[in-house]
Amino acid sequence: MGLLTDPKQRQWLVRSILRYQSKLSVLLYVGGLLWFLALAYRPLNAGTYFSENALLPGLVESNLPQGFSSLQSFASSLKEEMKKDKERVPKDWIFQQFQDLGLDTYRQNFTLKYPFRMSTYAKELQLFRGENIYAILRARRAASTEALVMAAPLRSASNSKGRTDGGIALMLGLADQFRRNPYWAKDVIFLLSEMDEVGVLAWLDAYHESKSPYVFADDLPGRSGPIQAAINLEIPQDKVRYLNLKVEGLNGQLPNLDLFNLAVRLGRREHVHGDHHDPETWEGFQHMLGTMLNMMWTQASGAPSGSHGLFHRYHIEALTLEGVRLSKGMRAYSLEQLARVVEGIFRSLNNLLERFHQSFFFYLLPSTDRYVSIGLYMPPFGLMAVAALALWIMATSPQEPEDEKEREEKQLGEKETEGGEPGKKETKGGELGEKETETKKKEDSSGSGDPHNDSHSEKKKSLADQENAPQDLAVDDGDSDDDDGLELGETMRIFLSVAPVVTMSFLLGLMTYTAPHLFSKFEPSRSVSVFDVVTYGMMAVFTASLTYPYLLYRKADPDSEILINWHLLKCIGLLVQGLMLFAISLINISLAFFIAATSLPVMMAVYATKSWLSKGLQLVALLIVSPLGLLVMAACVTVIQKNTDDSWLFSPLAAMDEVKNLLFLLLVDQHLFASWTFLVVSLAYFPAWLLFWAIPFCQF
Amino acid sequence: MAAVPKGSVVAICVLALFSTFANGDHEEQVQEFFKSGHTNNWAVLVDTSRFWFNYRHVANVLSVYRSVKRLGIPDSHIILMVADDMACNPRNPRPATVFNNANQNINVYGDDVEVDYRGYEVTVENFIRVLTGRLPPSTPRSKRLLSDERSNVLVYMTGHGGDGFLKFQDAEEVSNVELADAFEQMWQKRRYHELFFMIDTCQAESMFQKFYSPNILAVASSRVGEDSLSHHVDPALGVYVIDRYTYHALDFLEGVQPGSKKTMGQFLKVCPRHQCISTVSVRKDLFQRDPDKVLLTDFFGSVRNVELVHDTIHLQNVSLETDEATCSKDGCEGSSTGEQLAYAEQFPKPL
Repeated sequence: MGLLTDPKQRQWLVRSILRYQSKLSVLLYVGGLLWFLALAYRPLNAGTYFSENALLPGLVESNLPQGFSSLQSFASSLKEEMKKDKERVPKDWIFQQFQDLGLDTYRQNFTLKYPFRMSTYAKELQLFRGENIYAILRARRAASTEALVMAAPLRSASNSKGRTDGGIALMLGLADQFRRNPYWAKDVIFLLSEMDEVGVLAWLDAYHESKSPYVFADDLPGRSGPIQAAINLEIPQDKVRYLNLKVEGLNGQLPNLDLFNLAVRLGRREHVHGDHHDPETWEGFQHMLGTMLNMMWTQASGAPSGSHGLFHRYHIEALTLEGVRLSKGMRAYSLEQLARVVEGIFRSLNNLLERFHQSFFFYLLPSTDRYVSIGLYMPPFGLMAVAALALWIMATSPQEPEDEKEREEKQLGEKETEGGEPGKKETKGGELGEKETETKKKEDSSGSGDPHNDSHSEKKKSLADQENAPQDLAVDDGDSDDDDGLELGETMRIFLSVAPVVTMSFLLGLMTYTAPHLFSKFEPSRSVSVFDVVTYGMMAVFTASLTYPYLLYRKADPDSEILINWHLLKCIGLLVQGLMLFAISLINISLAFFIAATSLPVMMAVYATKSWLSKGLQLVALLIVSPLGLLVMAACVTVIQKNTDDSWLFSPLAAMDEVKNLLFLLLVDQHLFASWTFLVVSLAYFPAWLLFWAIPFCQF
Repeated sequence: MAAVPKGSVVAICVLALFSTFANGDHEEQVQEFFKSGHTNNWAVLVDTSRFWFNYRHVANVLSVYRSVKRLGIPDSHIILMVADDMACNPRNPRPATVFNNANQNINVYGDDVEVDYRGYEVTVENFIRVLTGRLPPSTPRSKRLLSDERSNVLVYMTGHGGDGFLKFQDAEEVSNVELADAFEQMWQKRRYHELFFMIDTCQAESMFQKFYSPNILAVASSRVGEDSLSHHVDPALGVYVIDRYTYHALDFLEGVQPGSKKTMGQFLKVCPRHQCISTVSVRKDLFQRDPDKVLLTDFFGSVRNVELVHDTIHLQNVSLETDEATCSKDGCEGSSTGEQLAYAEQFPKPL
């Protein structure tokens, strides 16, 4: 609020907003949601383009020989080697091949300490050993000051994740060709990692001399310069029907859009493209929306969709080329074709002069040649989240005296600015302290006469105002002529009524956060696996948390019974929720979007009621959008996605398994890769949700 | 004979020629050919951009270098500034070469290329110092522009430019005002007789709009608001190898021999819009001769107009004042005979 603006001028606006607030909030939410989804419509998004002109994408012709016989021979010998033992990867053979090519070839051992106790017997069983192989092709005419990485996971023939032997053969073939050429300005590192992401993590840790708590990596015997980009290959030997470009990394981080464009452009040049052109039709829109939501779904989990995801931690742009193997279908891409794509990508990366920095780092992809930038998706998302933030406060005042409206308007402005720059406030666990400081400030401000009319001092007290206003509203319900002392007492009383709820919910959040670690400390019996211990333990914690509003009332002394002001509670809840959403949206828009889209309508609608039916319905709705409810929903979606071919048959058992699986993945990712999805859910979303959970229980 | 100044010999040849062919309109036309008034040629060829993806700019400037050298300007009279070493770039699949054509016909970075200013030596300061002659005393002669008031100077520039500036390296730029002032200093210090300015960059026209010194003919590859585009890629190298305007200009120059009678007027018409995509822009108002009557080799070559005369000529009391035919329009036309010429002050005295 500027000093020069006269708040009275806007009273008509405030009044009309107040009159239609509920409709307006619905309109904002629905409008925001539809706008967001409409971004997948071709005219509303933008075509991709190259920002980095050093890349010179696809200008150079392939240097690979026609037929590429060495690639074929590598592929067939690798196949032979893999056949010998289905459980093991022929690491020695691969090592030998790279060494025979004359590259600097090294091994690196690492140990993974499983974060959860797997067995009662011995601690050693928790340790898994793995080995990475890497070979460095030194650039002949440059000083090893920069490097590119070509990576592939080492997977045995029996691995359930799909085979990567095509990718390994392709690396060998390309290494053989690359070393013959004089034009390398950067070293090329060929990295073969065991245990997929874990191996890559160990290697990257050692390369950058950092440490992880659960993965112990040996030092690297040989190294090169800073890595500028990495391409991960998950390519089977045959029947590759299309290429899947996986970009989603740890915590929803994405590689620079230029790298993605590069892969798409070179795929097109070799006529390898999975995506067709989506026309400006309803079908086209549906397809693009499907693609975009699919990408958002993967991104929202915060788990890397391939080994490339860990490179992003070190600001190395990386993506995975996954060859999708389908037995049906006529056309298949040969390894040679794919080799040309990869060669082209590396020739272009070789031209880079500095790190990727030009194009977008925050985007959504509705198709391979269209993108939605952060500038396009933030406004609709902001609309959705602001609907909850801004409008609720006005809804709290049943009748409004003159100065009340002014104050509300100020709050509206403040809420919005707060929403605009949520990056300042990390919602991780700082909430408790924040609330307490607000209390102190509030006491100061309410004691000093009437600070609200003093427009000059209002900025300093904005925080206090936020807290004050709804409480004042409640006071004003009775008589606005109360003297200050009485008002102060009343305000304090109302605030105190809410304080235990807020404190409790955040403590419960903290408990949820620490619970898995505690559970894993228990000695599991032989019949119960650690998966089950942790899963059921978490469910128990969740169920216990649900009873907390009831406990609050039971503990209260009947004489001095405090009525919880549910208006204030809801206000605080929406504030916390809005802050959290905006903070997440800056890093992982997909996670923020899915949480906002599901939880906000329920949270906006919740109110205290005496009707049992209404209360029951509210509680059911709240349960659905609870963290566990969302997890179950996610599990169902995953199960349905997996079962696309065998009709709509849906088995609850499979969903249950998937819930366990997802929860466990979240926890493992948190420990191994420092993914913060679990942290955000347990320390920010869960407490916020608990605040709303208390509202239907409020008495009034 | 050895004691007689060179200029007078030429003058006598010219006089002798007049007496043979002089008649009416024809004489006027013929005279134009011999009125260039310069005695030596210099070339300043500048590539201002570095990095592998700007390969074409280096190829541009080296191609022009090759052409002017072929047409007779010796290395000692060429200042070649190349901002990056493409031949030794590790990304170059053909090390130690620079090509200006997709089929790699001509290696423009052959054995006899003398680069005077290279890499980070190519700065705005060095460029302006070369033009104005204010170089440190230690600078070798090969790095100096030792032109005089009888020199025709060709200035060719290529790089990335904008409206009113040309970028040097990745850090600085020369503005069109600075460039115009540098040329004015050259004029005042009598460092050129006529100057041909040729520039191939985006919005190139803006670079000569501020010129105000006499005897400058300028051509630019594009108008303000237009981009100058590259001509083609060499798929074996993976880079664009030459720009459109330079490509067509070189195409024209390839057909020129040292004795050629092709004129600047023809050269200025090179690369029409359908070839260049940008509009080639020309500035003639400062230039006092008709470009259609100026030989191309007046700027791109170093060709003395020599006619062999078999008759014996007796020289008596030869001195410069008497042969007004050799003076150019701005030089000594109508001036009194005994006037002493002096160089302008390097730093003008305060008024």
